[in-house]
Amino acid sequence: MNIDDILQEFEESETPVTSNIHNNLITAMINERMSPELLPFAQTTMTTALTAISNQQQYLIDSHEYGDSVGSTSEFKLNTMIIETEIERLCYLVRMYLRTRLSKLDKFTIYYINEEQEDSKLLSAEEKEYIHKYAHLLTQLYNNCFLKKVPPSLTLLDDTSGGQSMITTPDTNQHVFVKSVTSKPITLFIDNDDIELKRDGIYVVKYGLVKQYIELGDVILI
Amino acid sequence: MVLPTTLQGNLMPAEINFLAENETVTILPRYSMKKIELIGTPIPPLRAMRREKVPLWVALILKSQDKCNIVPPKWLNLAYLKEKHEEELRKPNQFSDLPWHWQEIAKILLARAQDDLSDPSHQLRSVIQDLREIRLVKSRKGLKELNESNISLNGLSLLEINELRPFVLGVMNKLRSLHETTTTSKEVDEDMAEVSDDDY
Repeated sequence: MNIDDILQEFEESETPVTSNIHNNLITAMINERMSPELLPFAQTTMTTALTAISNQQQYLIDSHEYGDSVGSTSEFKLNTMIIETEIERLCYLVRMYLRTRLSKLDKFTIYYINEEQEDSKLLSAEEKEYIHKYAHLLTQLYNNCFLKKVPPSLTLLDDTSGGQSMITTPDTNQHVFVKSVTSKPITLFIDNDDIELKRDGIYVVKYGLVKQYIELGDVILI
Repeated sequence: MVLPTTLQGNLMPAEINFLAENETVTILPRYSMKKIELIGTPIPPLRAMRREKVPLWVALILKSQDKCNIVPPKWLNLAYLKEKHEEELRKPNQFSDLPWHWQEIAKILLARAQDDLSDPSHQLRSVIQDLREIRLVKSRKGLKELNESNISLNGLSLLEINELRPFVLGVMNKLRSLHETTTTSKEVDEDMAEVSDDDY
Protein backbone atom coordinates (compact mmCIF):
# COMPACT_ATOMS: atom_id res chain seq x y z
CA MET A 1 0.00 0.00 0.00
CA ASN A 2 1.56 3.27 -1.02
CA ILE A 3 0.81 6.76 0.10
CA ASP A 4 -1.72 7.27 -2.68
CA ASP A 5 -3.82 4.39 -1.48
CA ILE A 6 -3.81 5.73 2.04
CA LEU A 7 -4.84 9.14 0.81
CA GLN A 8 -7.45 7.47 -1.30
CA GLU A 9 -9.00 5.72 1.64
CA PHE A 10 -8.95 8.92 3.60
CA GLU A 11 -10.81 10.67 0.82
CA GLU A 12 -13.34 7.91 0.56
CA SER A 13 -14.08 7.93 4.27
CA GLU A 14 -15.44 11.45 4.21
CA THR A 15 -18.65 11.92 2.33
CA PRO A 16 -18.37 14.88 0.01
CA VAL A 17 -21.24 17.32 0.27
CA THR A 18 -21.25 18.63 -3.26
CA SER A 19 -24.29 20.66 -3.99
CA ASN A 20 -23.60 21.66 -7.54
CA ILE A 21 -25.65 22.56 -10.56
CA HIS A 22 -25.67 19.02 -11.85
CA ASN A 23 -27.13 17.48 -8.71
CA ASN A 24 -29.66 20.26 -8.30
CA LEU A 25 -30.85 19.76 -11.85
CA ILE A 26 -31.16 16.02 -11.41
CA THR A 27 -33.13 16.42 -8.21
CA ALA A 28 -35.40 19.01 -9.79
CA MET A 29 -36.00 16.79 -12.81
CA ILE A 30 -36.72 13.61 -10.88
CA ASN A 31 -38.92 15.39 -8.34
CA GLU A 32 -40.92 16.90 -11.14
CA ARG A 33 -41.20 13.57 -12.96
CA MET A 34 -42.45 11.70 -9.93
CA SER A 35 -44.77 14.17 -8.28
CA PRO A 36 -48.43 14.11 -9.27
CA GLU A 37 -48.71 17.90 -9.22
CA LEU A 38 -46.61 20.77 -10.47
CA LEU A 39 -43.82 21.84 -8.12
CA PRO A 40 -42.71 25.45 -7.80
CA PHE A 41 -40.46 26.42 -10.68
CA ALA A 42 -36.80 25.94 -9.73
CA GLN A 43 -35.86 29.48 -10.73
CA THR A 44 -32.38 29.67 -9.21
CA THR A 45 -31.32 26.25 -10.39
CA MET A 46 -32.54 26.92 -13.90
CA THR A 47 -30.99 30.37 -14.15
CA THR A 48 -27.60 29.22 -12.93
CA ALA A 49 -27.69 26.14 -15.14
CA LEU A 50 -28.67 28.06 -18.25
CA THR A 51 -26.07 30.75 -17.63
CA ALA A 52 -23.40 28.13 -17.05
CA ILE A 53 -24.36 26.32 -20.24
CA SER A 54 -24.27 29.45 -22.37
CA ASN A 55 -20.96 30.51 -20.84
CA GLN A 56 -19.51 27.13 -21.62
CA GLN A 57 -20.81 27.29 -25.18
CA GLN A 58 -19.24 30.73 -25.56
CA TYR A 59 -16.00 29.32 -24.24
CA LEU A 60 -16.11 26.57 -26.86
CA ILE A 61 -16.72 29.08 -29.65
CA ASP A 62 -13.88 31.24 -28.40
CA SER A 63 -11.47 28.37 -28.10
CA HIS A 64 -12.34 27.26 -31.63
CA GLU A 65 -11.62 30.72 -32.94
CA TYR A 66 -8.51 31.56 -31.01
CA GLY A 67 -7.63 27.97 -30.16
CA ASP A 68 -4.22 27.75 -28.55
CA SER A 69 -2.11 26.20 -31.25
CA VAL A 70 0.54 25.45 -28.62
CA GLY A 71 -1.31 22.52 -27.06
CA SER A 72 -1.36 19.25 -28.93
CA THR A 73 -4.39 18.98 -31.19
CA SER A 74 -5.50 15.57 -29.98
CA GLU A 75 -5.64 16.74 -26.39
CA PHE A 76 -7.50 19.84 -27.46
CA LYS A 77 -10.02 17.68 -29.31
CA LEU A 78 -10.52 15.44 -26.31
CA ASN A 79 -11.02 18.43 -24.06
CA THR A 80 -13.56 19.88 -26.39
CA MET A 81 -15.35 16.59 -26.63
CA ILE A 82 -15.65 16.25 -22.87
CA ILE A 83 -16.95 19.79 -22.54
CA GLU A 84 -19.44 19.25 -25.36
CA THR A 85 -20.63 16.01 -23.82
CA GLU A 86 -21.23 17.75 -20.53
CA ILE A 87 -23.24 20.49 -22.19
CA GLU A 88 -25.35 17.87 -23.94
CA ARG A 89 -25.93 16.02 -20.69
CA LEU A 90 -27.04 19.18 -18.91
CA CYS A 91 -29.24 20.22 -21.82
CA TYR A 92 -30.96 16.87 -21.66
CA LEU A 93 -31.77 17.39 -18.00
CA VAL A 94 -33.09 20.89 -18.64
CA ARG A 95 -35.19 19.68 -21.55
CA MET A 96 -36.61 16.80 -19.58
CA TYR A 97 -37.48 19.11 -16.70
CA LEU A 98 -39.32 21.57 -18.92
CA ARG A 99 -41.10 18.88 -20.90
CA THR A 100 -42.38 17.26 -17.74
CA ARG A 101 -43.73 20.57 -16.54
CA LEU A 102 -45.39 21.26 -19.86
CA SER A 103 -47.06 17.87 -19.85
CA LYS A 104 -48.57 18.68 -16.47
CA LEU A 105 -49.66 22.11 -17.61
CA ASP A 106 -51.39 20.52 -20.60
CA LYS A 107 -53.17 18.07 -18.39
CA PHE A 108 -54.34 20.45 -15.67
CA THR A 109 -54.61 23.66 -17.71
CA ILE A 110 -57.67 25.22 -16.13
CA TYR A 111 -56.66 24.23 -12.62
CA TYR A 112 -53.31 25.98 -12.90
CA ILE A 113 -54.82 29.05 -14.55
CA ASN A 114 -57.05 29.37 -11.51
CA GLU A 115 -54.20 28.65 -9.11
CA GLU A 116 -51.82 31.09 -10.69
CA GLN A 117 -51.34 34.47 -9.07
CA GLU A 118 -49.21 37.39 -10.13
CA ASP A 119 -46.47 36.79 -7.62
CA SER A 120 -46.66 33.02 -7.40
CA LYS A 121 -43.49 31.01 -7.75
CA LEU A 122 -45.33 28.07 -9.24
CA LEU A 123 -44.88 28.98 -12.89
CA SER A 124 -42.10 30.74 -14.73
CA ALA A 125 -42.94 33.75 -16.88
CA GLU A 126 -42.70 31.67 -20.05
CA GLU A 127 -44.93 29.01 -18.61
CA LYS A 128 -47.54 31.61 -17.66
CA GLU A 129 -47.60 32.84 -21.20
CA TYR A 130 -47.77 29.30 -22.52
CA ILE A 131 -50.63 28.19 -20.33
CA HIS A 132 -52.81 31.15 -21.31
CA LYS A 133 -52.16 30.70 -24.99
CA TYR A 134 -52.73 26.97 -24.74
CA ALA A 135 -56.02 27.40 -22.90
CA HIS A 136 -57.12 29.97 -25.47
CA LEU A 137 -56.34 27.67 -28.40
CA LEU A 138 -57.98 24.71 -26.75
CA THR A 139 -61.19 26.59 -25.96
CA GLN A 140 -61.29 27.90 -29.50
CA LEU A 141 -60.88 24.42 -30.91
CA TYR A 142 -63.57 22.94 -28.69
CA ASN A 143 -65.92 25.77 -29.54
CA ASN A 144 -65.45 25.42 -33.24
CA CYS A 145 -65.69 21.67 -33.23
CA PHE A 146 -68.69 20.93 -31.10
CA LEU A 147 -69.40 23.29 -28.25
CA LYS A 148 -71.27 25.78 -30.45
CA LYS A 149 -73.76 23.05 -31.28
CA VAL A 150 -74.62 22.08 -27.72
CA PRO A 151 -76.93 24.07 -25.42
CA PRO A 152 -75.07 27.06 -23.90
CA SER A 153 -75.63 25.85 -20.35
CA LEU A 154 -73.47 22.82 -21.09
CA THR A 155 -70.59 24.61 -22.76
CA LEU A 156 -68.67 25.75 -19.69
CA LEU A 157 -65.30 24.06 -19.50
CA ASP A 158 -64.81 25.02 -15.86
CA ASP A 159 -68.25 24.03 -14.69
CA THR A 160 -68.28 22.99 -11.03
CA SER A 161 -72.02 22.86 -10.46
CA GLY A 162 -73.97 19.65 -10.23
CA GLY A 163 -71.60 18.01 -7.77
CA GLN A 164 -69.10 17.14 -10.47
CA SER A 165 -66.18 19.43 -11.20
CA MET A 166 -65.18 19.72 -14.84
CA ILE A 167 -61.69 20.83 -13.90
CA THR A 168 -59.09 18.11 -13.87
CA THR A 169 -57.11 18.46 -10.68
CA PRO A 170 -53.94 16.66 -9.73
CA ASP A 171 -54.45 13.87 -7.21
CA THR A 172 -52.23 14.75 -4.27
CA ASN A 173 -53.17 11.60 -2.41
CA GLN A 174 -51.29 9.46 -4.87
CA HIS A 175 -48.49 7.34 -3.51
CA VAL A 176 -44.92 8.24 -4.32
CA PHE A 177 -41.51 6.72 -3.65
CA VAL A 178 -39.46 8.99 -1.45
CA LYS A 179 -36.00 9.01 0.01
CA SER A 180 -35.07 11.05 3.04
CA VAL A 181 -31.87 13.02 2.60
CA THR A 182 -31.70 14.94 5.83
CA SER A 183 -29.93 13.76 8.95
CA LYS A 184 -32.79 14.51 11.31
CA PRO A 185 -35.60 11.99 11.23
CA ILE A 186 -38.95 13.18 9.94
CA THR A 187 -42.11 11.92 11.56
CA LEU A 188 -45.23 11.61 9.48
CA PHE A 189 -48.66 11.09 10.98
CA ILE A 190 -50.96 8.82 9.10
CA ASP A 191 -54.42 8.48 10.60
CA ASN A 192 -53.66 7.17 14.06
CA ASP A 193 -50.29 5.83 13.15
CA ASP A 194 -46.97 7.54 12.72
CA ILE A 195 -43.90 6.57 10.74
CA GLU A 196 -40.42 7.92 10.93
CA LEU A 197 -38.39 8.66 7.83
CA LYS A 198 -34.75 7.94 8.53
CA ARG A 199 -31.85 9.22 6.48
CA ASP A 200 -31.41 7.34 3.19
CA GLY A 201 -34.48 5.28 3.93
CA ILE A 202 -36.83 4.53 1.06
CA TYR A 203 -40.55 4.76 1.66
CA VAL A 204 -43.78 4.76 -0.26
CA VAL A 205 -46.18 7.30 1.18
CA LYS A 206 -48.93 9.61 0.07
CA TYR A 207 -47.64 12.62 -1.78
CA GLY A 208 -49.69 15.06 0.29
CA LEU A 209 -47.89 14.03 3.48
CA VAL A 210 -44.39 14.71 2.23
CA LYS A 211 -45.17 17.71 0.05
CA GLN A 212 -43.79 20.27 2.50
CA TYR A 213 -40.59 18.29 3.02
CA ILE A 214 -40.03 18.05 -0.73
CA GLU A 215 -40.25 21.82 -1.01
CA LEU A 216 -37.75 22.16 1.84
CA GLY A 217 -35.46 19.67 0.14
CA ASP A 218 -35.38 17.29 3.11
CA VAL A 219 -36.99 14.54 1.11
CA ILE A 220 -36.49 13.72 -2.54
CA LEU A 221 -38.72 11.76 -4.83
CA ILE A 222 -37.19 8.81 -6.61
CA MET B 1 -47.80 14.74 -26.12
CA VAL B 2 -44.78 16.65 -24.89
CA LEU B 3 -43.94 13.68 -22.75
CA PRO B 4 -44.84 10.21 -24.03
CA THR B 5 -46.85 8.18 -21.53
CA THR B 6 -43.98 5.70 -21.25
CA LEU B 7 -41.97 8.47 -19.61
CA GLN B 8 -44.67 9.58 -17.21
CA GLY B 9 -44.51 8.35 -13.66
CA ASN B 10 -41.58 6.10 -14.28
CA LEU B 11 -38.02 6.31 -15.48
CA MET B 12 -36.64 4.45 -18.45
CA PRO B 13 -33.73 2.09 -17.83
CA ALA B 14 -31.69 4.24 -20.20
CA GLU B 15 -32.32 7.25 -18.01
CA ILE B 16 -31.24 5.39 -14.91
CA ASN B 17 -28.12 4.45 -16.79
CA PHE B 18 -27.64 8.12 -17.52
CA LEU B 19 -27.98 8.94 -13.83
CA ALA B 20 -25.54 6.20 -12.92
CA GLU B 21 -22.98 7.73 -15.25
CA ASN B 22 -22.87 10.75 -12.97
CA GLU B 23 -21.45 8.73 -10.10
CA THR B 24 -17.76 9.27 -9.53
CA VAL B 25 -15.17 6.58 -10.09
CA THR B 26 -11.47 6.49 -9.47
CA ILE B 27 -9.26 6.37 -12.51
CA LEU B 28 -5.60 5.78 -13.07
CA PRO B 29 -4.62 8.07 -15.94
CA ARG B 30 -1.98 6.90 -18.38
CA TYR B 31 -1.19 10.34 -19.69
CA SER B 32 -1.10 13.74 -18.18
CA MET B 33 -3.85 16.12 -19.04
CA LYS B 34 -4.62 19.70 -18.28
CA LYS B 35 -7.40 20.68 -15.96
CA ILE B 36 -10.82 20.85 -17.59
CA GLU B 37 -13.29 23.41 -16.29
CA LEU B 38 -16.62 21.68 -16.32
CA ILE B 39 -19.93 23.08 -15.13
CA GLY B 40 -20.52 20.31 -12.63
CA THR B 41 -17.38 18.98 -11.03
CA PRO B 42 -14.23 20.36 -12.67
CA ILE B 43 -11.75 17.70 -13.68
CA PRO B 44 -8.48 18.18 -11.84
CA PRO B 45 -5.21 18.14 -13.79
CA LEU B 46 -4.45 14.51 -14.52
CA ARG B 47 -1.00 13.12 -14.05
CA ALA B 48 0.09 9.72 -15.24
CA MET B 49 -0.39 6.97 -12.65
CA ARG B 50 -1.92 9.28 -10.08
CA ARG B 51 -5.38 8.37 -8.93
CA GLU B 52 -8.13 10.89 -9.48
CA LYS B 53 -11.87 10.88 -9.04
CA VAL B 54 -13.95 11.80 -12.06
CA PRO B 55 -17.55 11.22 -13.11
CA LEU B 56 -18.09 7.85 -14.74
CA TRP B 57 -19.00 9.32 -18.12
CA VAL B 58 -15.67 11.18 -18.28
CA ALA B 59 -13.88 8.02 -17.28
CA LEU B 60 -15.61 6.16 -20.10
CA ILE B 61 -14.57 8.74 -22.68
CA LEU B 62 -10.98 8.59 -21.47
CA LYS B 63 -11.14 4.81 -21.37
CA SER B 64 -12.42 4.56 -24.91
CA GLN B 65 -9.43 6.63 -26.01
CA ASP B 66 -7.10 4.41 -23.99
CA LYS B 67 -6.08 7.30 -21.79
CA CYS B 68 -6.80 5.75 -18.44
CA ASN B 69 -7.61 2.65 -16.46
CA ILE B 70 -10.69 2.57 -14.32
CA VAL B 71 -10.18 1.39 -10.75
CA PRO B 72 -13.20 -0.82 -10.08
CA PRO B 73 -15.27 0.27 -7.08
CA LYS B 74 -14.56 -1.65 -3.92
CA TRP B 75 -17.81 -3.58 -4.10
CA LEU B 76 -17.27 -4.84 -7.63
CA ASN B 77 -15.33 -8.03 -7.03
CA LEU B 78 -16.17 -11.65 -6.59
CA ALA B 79 -15.44 -11.93 -2.88
CA TYR B 80 -17.56 -8.96 -1.88
CA LEU B 81 -20.50 -9.84 -4.09
CA LYS B 82 -20.44 -13.49 -3.01
CA GLU B 83 -20.53 -12.38 0.58
CA LYS B 84 -23.50 -10.15 -0.18
CA HIS B 85 -25.19 -13.07 -1.87
CA GLU B 86 -24.76 -15.16 1.23
CA GLU B 87 -26.03 -12.31 3.35
CA GLU B 88 -29.14 -12.19 1.18
CA LEU B 89 -29.64 -15.92 1.80
CA ARG B 90 -29.09 -15.55 5.54
CA LYS B 91 -31.54 -12.72 6.01
CA PRO B 92 -34.63 -13.63 4.09
CA ASN B 93 -36.56 -10.56 5.22
CA GLN B 94 -34.03 -7.90 4.51
CA PHE B 95 -32.11 -6.52 1.57
CA SER B 96 -28.38 -6.28 1.90
CA ASP B 97 -26.82 -2.93 1.52
CA LEU B 98 -25.62 -2.30 -2.04
CA PRO B 99 -24.82 0.96 -3.80
CA TRP B 100 -27.70 2.97 -5.20
CA HIS B 101 -26.63 2.21 -8.78
CA TRP B 102 -24.91 -1.16 -8.40
CA GLN B 103 -26.47 -2.96 -11.34
CA GLU B 104 -25.96 -0.13 -13.77
CA ILE B 105 -22.37 0.57 -12.82
CA ALA B 106 -21.52 -3.13 -12.84
CA LYS B 107 -23.05 -3.48 -16.28
CA ILE B 108 -21.29 -0.44 -17.69
CA LEU B 109 -17.93 -1.51 -16.32
CA LEU B 110 -18.36 -5.10 -17.48
CA ALA B 111 -19.15 -3.89 -20.94
CA ARG B 112 -16.70 -1.06 -21.31
CA ALA B 113 -13.79 -1.73 -18.96
CA GLN B 114 -13.62 -5.49 -18.73
CA ASP B 115 -9.82 -5.53 -18.68
CA ASP B 116 -9.70 -3.35 -15.56
CA LEU B 117 -11.75 -5.66 -13.39
CA SER B 118 -9.88 -7.87 -10.98
CA ASP B 119 -11.98 -11.00 -11.53
CA PRO B 120 -12.97 -12.88 -14.68
CA SER B 121 -16.02 -11.19 -16.11
CA HIS B 122 -18.11 -14.35 -16.61
CA GLN B 123 -17.86 -15.13 -12.91
CA LEU B 124 -18.77 -11.57 -11.99
CA ARG B 125 -21.72 -11.65 -14.33
CA SER B 126 -22.99 -14.86 -12.85
CA VAL B 127 -22.74 -13.68 -9.24
CA ILE B 128 -24.44 -10.41 -10.17
CA GLN B 129 -27.20 -12.38 -11.85
CA ASP B 130 -27.62 -14.52 -8.71
CA LEU B 131 -27.74 -11.47 -6.53
CA ARG B 132 -30.26 -9.78 -8.77
CA GLU B 133 -32.49 -12.84 -8.85
CA ILE B 134 -32.53 -13.41 -5.13
CA ARG B 135 -33.38 -9.76 -4.53
CA LEU B 136 -36.11 -9.94 -7.13
CA VAL B 137 -37.64 -12.99 -5.44
CA LYS B 138 -37.54 -11.18 -2.12
CA SER B 139 -39.16 -8.06 -3.44
CA ARG B 140 -41.87 -10.13 -5.13
CA LYS B 141 -42.55 -11.92 -1.85
CA GLY B 142 -42.73 -8.54 -0.17
CA LEU B 143 -45.57 -7.53 -2.47
CA LYS B 144 -47.90 -9.45 -0.16
CA GLU B 145 -47.31 -6.75 2.42
CA LEU B 146 -48.70 -3.96 0.26
CA ASN B 147 -51.29 -1.84 2.04
CA GLU B 148 -53.11 1.39 1.42
CA SER B 149 -51.04 3.71 3.58
CA ASN B 150 -47.30 3.21 3.46
CA ILE B 151 -44.41 0.77 3.11
CA SER B 152 -40.68 1.09 3.48
CA LEU B 153 -38.26 -0.50 1.07
CA ASN B 154 -34.83 0.00 2.51
CA GLY B 155 -31.86 -1.35 0.65
CA LEU B 156 -33.32 -1.45 -2.83
CA SER B 157 -31.45 0.24 -5.61
CA LEU B 158 -32.96 2.69 -8.06
CA LEU B 159 -33.21 0.21 -10.92
CA GLU B 160 -34.98 -2.31 -8.70
CA ILE B 161 -37.37 0.34 -7.44
CA ASN B 162 -38.10 1.36 -10.98
CA GLU B 163 -38.98 -2.21 -11.85
CA LEU B 164 -41.42 -2.44 -8.96
CA ARG B 165 -42.87 1.01 -9.22
CA PRO B 166 -45.70 0.61 -11.76
CA PHE B 167 -47.10 -2.40 -9.93
CA VAL B 168 -46.66 -1.11 -6.39
CA LEU B 169 -48.16 2.30 -7.08
CA GLY B 170 -51.03 0.82 -9.05
CA VAL B 171 -51.94 -1.58 -6.28
CA MET B 172 -51.52 0.97 -3.50
CA ASN B 173 -53.66 3.53 -5.28
CA LYS B 174 -56.38 0.95 -5.86
CA LEU B 175 -56.25 -0.12 -2.22
CA ARG B 176 -56.41 3.50 -1.22
CA SER B 177 -59.56 4.17 -3.17
CA LEU B 178 -61.12 1.01 -1.75
CA HIS B 179 -60.11 2.12 1.72
CA GLU B 180 -61.60 5.56 1.17
CA THR B 181 -64.94 4.14 0.10
CA THR B 182 -65.11 1.85 3.14
CA THR B 183 -64.32 4.68 5.56
CA THR B 184 -66.80 7.05 3.98
CA SER B 185 -69.52 4.43 3.89
CA LYS B 186 -68.82 3.68 7.55
CA GLU B 187 -69.24 7.36 8.37
CA VAL B 188 -72.48 7.43 6.45
CA ASP B 189 -73.67 4.39 8.40
CA GLU B 190 -72.79 6.09 11.67
CA ASP B 191 -74.64 9.21 10.63
CA MET B 192 -77.63 7.13 9.75
CA ALA B 193 -77.46 5.38 13.11
CA GLU B 194 -77.36 8.71 14.92
CA VAL B 195 -80.32 9.99 12.99
CA SER B 196 -82.33 6.89 13.78
CA ASP B 197 -81.36 7.17 17.46
CA ASP B 198 -82.71 10.69 17.55
CA ASP B 199 -85.94 9.61 15.99
CA TYR B 200 -86.84 7.32 18.78
